[in-house]
Amino acid sequence: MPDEHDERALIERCRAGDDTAFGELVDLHKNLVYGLVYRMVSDRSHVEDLAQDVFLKVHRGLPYFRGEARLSTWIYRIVQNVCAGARSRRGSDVSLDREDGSGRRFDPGAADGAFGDLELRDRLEKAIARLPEPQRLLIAAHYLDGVQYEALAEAMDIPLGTVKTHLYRAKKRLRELLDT
Amino acid sequence: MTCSDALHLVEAIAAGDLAVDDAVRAHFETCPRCASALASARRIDAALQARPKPQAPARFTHTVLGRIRQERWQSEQRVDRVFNVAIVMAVLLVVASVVALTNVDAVIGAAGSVWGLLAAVGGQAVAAAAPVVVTYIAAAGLLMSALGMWWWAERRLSL
Repeated sequence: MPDEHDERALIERCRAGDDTAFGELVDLHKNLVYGLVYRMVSDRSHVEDLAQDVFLKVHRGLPYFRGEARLSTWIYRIVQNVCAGARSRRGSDVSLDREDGSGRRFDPGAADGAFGDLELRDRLEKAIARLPEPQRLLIAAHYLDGVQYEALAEAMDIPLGTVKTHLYRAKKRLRELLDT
Repeated sequence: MTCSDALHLVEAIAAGDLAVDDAVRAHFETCPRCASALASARRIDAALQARPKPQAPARFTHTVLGRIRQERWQSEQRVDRVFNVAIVMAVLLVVASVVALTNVDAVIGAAGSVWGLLAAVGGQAVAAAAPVVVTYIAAAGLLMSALGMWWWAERRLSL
């Protein structure tokens, strides 16, 4: 991630219509954006289009970007809006019930470890889809490579303690969803 | 330590953010409910860590820049179209003005005729509509009431 000075210089070049500079900006943030979108939407076939839409919105909005927050803060917000828009267009039809309808509860001590992990992963994805949008984004971002609490607090422009509180609350909600 | 206190700490302990003291450890070792919650939280944390960390496709940046160029081109096309229409309108206006200046009497005569025609037609229309205006107002009122009731019923159903 570039420091604030480099970031401002890059933004100024983009504003001046330098496509190479915008390419550099995309290269810097593409894995973050792609990873976030991948984790925020259930329909994987739209991930690339939605990630591209995020950068098109960034490009359109750059002339109005006042630089009061970091660029990544703004990008997180755009990701959240783009994913929320995609979800509202497609609707949410996620069920936590097992495919076979047995409704078995999540058992942390399941005897078959590999099957238990797969089942947990599947139900976890569905549980995450039920979280409110900001909590989904936090969960999506926190477990991407190298995104620590401090980086999240800076990127989302909220205090460090609030990041932790929101994450614990989201994970508690996940546990409740998986335990019922 | 109560179960309520311990359950508040479960997510922080599972994430490794909290150093566990003896009292907390003793509670989790002796309380099956809290121990089960902690095991669930740890398993969820591990599953979250193990989620795929996808990378953007190789030509992602190239595709984004292509879409930006296409958008820019479409925007320029729109501006070009508006400009062309404006030019045609301006030329037509200039031609019409020149024609009007060379035939001032004819233009004044034609404008007078058009005005007279409009006044006559307008007068006839007002005279024809006057007797049924009350009926139209009543019908509009009924329609608005019906729409209002429909909106109210829809709103009640969606709450």
